[in-house]
Amino acid sequence: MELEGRFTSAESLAEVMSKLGTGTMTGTLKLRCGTNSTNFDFYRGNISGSENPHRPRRLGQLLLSRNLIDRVALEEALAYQADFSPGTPIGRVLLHRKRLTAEALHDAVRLQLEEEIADILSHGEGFYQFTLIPLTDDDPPLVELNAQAVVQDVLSRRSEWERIRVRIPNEQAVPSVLKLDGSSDREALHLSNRDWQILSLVNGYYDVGCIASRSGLGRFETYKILDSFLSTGLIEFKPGREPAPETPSEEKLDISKGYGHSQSQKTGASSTRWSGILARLRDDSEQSDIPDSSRLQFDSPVGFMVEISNQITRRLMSNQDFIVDPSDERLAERYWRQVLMSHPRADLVSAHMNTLSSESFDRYTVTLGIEGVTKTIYLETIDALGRHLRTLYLLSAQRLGSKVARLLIATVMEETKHRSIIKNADSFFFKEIATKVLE
Amino acid sequence: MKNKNILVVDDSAAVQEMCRQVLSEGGYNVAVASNGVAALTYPDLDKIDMLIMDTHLRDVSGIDTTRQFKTDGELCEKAVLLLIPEEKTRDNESIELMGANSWLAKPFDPATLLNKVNNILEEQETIRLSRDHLRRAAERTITRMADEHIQKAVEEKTQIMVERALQMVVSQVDMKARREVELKVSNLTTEKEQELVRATVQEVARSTIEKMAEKRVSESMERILSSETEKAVRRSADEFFPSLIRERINENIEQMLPKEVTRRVQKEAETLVPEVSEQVIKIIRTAADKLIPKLAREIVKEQADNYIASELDKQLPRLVQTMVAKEIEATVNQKMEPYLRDQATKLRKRITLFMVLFLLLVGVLAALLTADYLFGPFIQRPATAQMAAPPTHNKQIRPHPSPQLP
Repeated sequence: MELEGRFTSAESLAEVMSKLGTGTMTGTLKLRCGTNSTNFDFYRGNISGSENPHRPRRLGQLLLSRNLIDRVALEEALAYQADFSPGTPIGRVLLHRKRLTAEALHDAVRLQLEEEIADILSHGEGFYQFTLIPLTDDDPPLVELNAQAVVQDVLSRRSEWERIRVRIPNEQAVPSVLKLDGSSDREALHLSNRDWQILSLVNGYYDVGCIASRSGLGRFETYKILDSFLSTGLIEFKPGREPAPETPSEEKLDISKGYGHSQSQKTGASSTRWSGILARLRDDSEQSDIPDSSRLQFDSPVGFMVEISNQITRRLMSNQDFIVDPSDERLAERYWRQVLMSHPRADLVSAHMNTLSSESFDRYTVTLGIEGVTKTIYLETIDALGRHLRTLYLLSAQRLGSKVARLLIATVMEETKHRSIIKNADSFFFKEIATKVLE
Repeated sequence: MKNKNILVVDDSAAVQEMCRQVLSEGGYNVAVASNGVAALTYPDLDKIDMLIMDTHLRDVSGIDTTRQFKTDGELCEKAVLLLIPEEKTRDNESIELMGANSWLAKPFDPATLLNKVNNILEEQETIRLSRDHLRRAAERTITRMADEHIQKAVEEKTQIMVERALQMVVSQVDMKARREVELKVSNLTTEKEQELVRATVQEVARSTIEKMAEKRVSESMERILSSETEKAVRRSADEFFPSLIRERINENIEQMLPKEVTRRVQKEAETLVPEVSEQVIKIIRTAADKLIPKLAREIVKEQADNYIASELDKQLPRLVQTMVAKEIEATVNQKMEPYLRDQATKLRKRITLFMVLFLLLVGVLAALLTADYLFGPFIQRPATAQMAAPPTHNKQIRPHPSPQLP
């Protein structure tokens, strides 16, 4: 059974959710507002989860930001999840390993769901589709929220949201702190821990969305606090900042899954070529015939990934069919910035115009290697660079076609890999990354 | 250095993460911030022991933030370690620390960071202990000095109070004593005035009596001596000398005795007069004791009151001194009286003896003259003897012409 239709206001969507709750329905409610789509899982009429393909939820980051778990516990849970229980939600792993209480998990998930609902309600109108799923004997969901109560809470904040939205128009706005005049200003400011948590994340680079994500307080609370900072003159939003580039849509490219989710699309001669390239990349036994003295030396895989990114950008910018906008001369800089908003600890890699630089990261790598204190940063940077390459691929696929883009990027990867010597690459599996980027 | 709190201020999330891991493994509690304003407004800033500050923060630089920390009276003691990008330290230019404790180039070695932090915190701890020690020592010194000053002030105050109290007591005692003295003086004055009058009267009486006694004694002695001498001489002369000799002797005696007798009588009178005077004084004192108080009260009191009232302050010491001197004199006289009396008795005895001897001498002389007159021919007087005879005798006693021997 399916239930679908159009909602024209937040109230009408709230009515739909209330009906599902009253009917103790179990299934998935898919909401689509413009390019944004969100899926809500219902279990016996209660909301039990959500998924946004464009903005993956980071429960671990949220739990860390709210000091509900420590970093060691999260890394242990992630390792356990990867080794023994792939596909199991990280929340359930943490609960199973007794690193988190059910109440704490409930609060964190509720916050995330409220964020999703508030986000979808802010659009005002869209389409909904509910797919009924029969009940199974599987474990019941960890969190069940009364849909009607959550929607009512979100609706009750709408007036305040609208007032805040006037001053902080979008998530891409970047706040900057203003210098205090002296000790009098300092003594006059009595910040709560939540206020300071938001203020401590303002660095003149992170946008509001990034700050909200890292704070763990949720967007509404983050916006509210930033709005109060604006009122007291503690921060400002500098005008004229370049708007963030639109993230290339995977759906338009008939790629339903994002980075890290493969979907085979191997048809035609071009597909055969790039598949062959991927196959060669996977072949560890293949030896380069280029002498070491002529090969590129990288202190870490990060430098190698940055080089690939720069090579791809150069190739793309040399193709006249690719350049469609004057801002493309700063394409890498703009998109890397977007990536950093979700991978802030990758900021040792910097971008200027269409060139990424791993100089800062490499200096730490020379001193520290990629183990120990730099491992977390290394892994996040590699993940960020993979996402950046994926963005470049999606962008080039949009403009040049997916086959050309895929062939171009695969070729660059192969050539660069072929003439590179990478240090500290023991745990670096480039072939998997390349596959995630291109597939 | 465990459980120290460190605030890392760096706009790079990666650097924040590295510092957090390194310092957490080193046993520190770490908080992170991305800007200097957050560092200055950290809610638990008073619990922060050290700041690790990136110098090149985007909006408000770490240098400015460090300056704000070091110029704030409440925050200036926080230790600050600056993180300076390596390229900024290659210029060999002096690095502006703005009062920070030390600096470290980025990228940094975790061990170096940890050592720097340990050293700075140990140094801070040493400084803190030194300051505490100095503060305690200063407090002790100040307390001691304050105690001393307080003690001194209390002593001075006490002394002043005691002096004032003493002055008050003295003044009160003085007033009381003055009143008592005045009372006593007034009483004493009456007595002394009485005594003065009495003494004056006694003195006048004494001098009058002495003169009268002297005169009377002199007259009596003269009369007695004259009559007795005359009688004795007459009797002797009647017995031994002829009338001529008697006449001559009479003449000589009349010329010689009065002077001698007067002299001796005067001496006797001088001896006897005090005794007689004393008796007279007793009589007069007895009479005065009866008469003078009444007289003094009636006559002297009014004058004495006026006189004392006006001249008391000036004259009192002198008066008292005079009185005391007189009192002493009276006491001395009283004590010397037995001695004088004894001496007078001795002198009287000596005069009596001398008179007896004198009478004997006169008798012997008369006998010799008589014998010479009667038995002259039997006694051959040498010429020299005649020549050696005292001129007084030759003058006063004109010898009869020697009878010629047949």
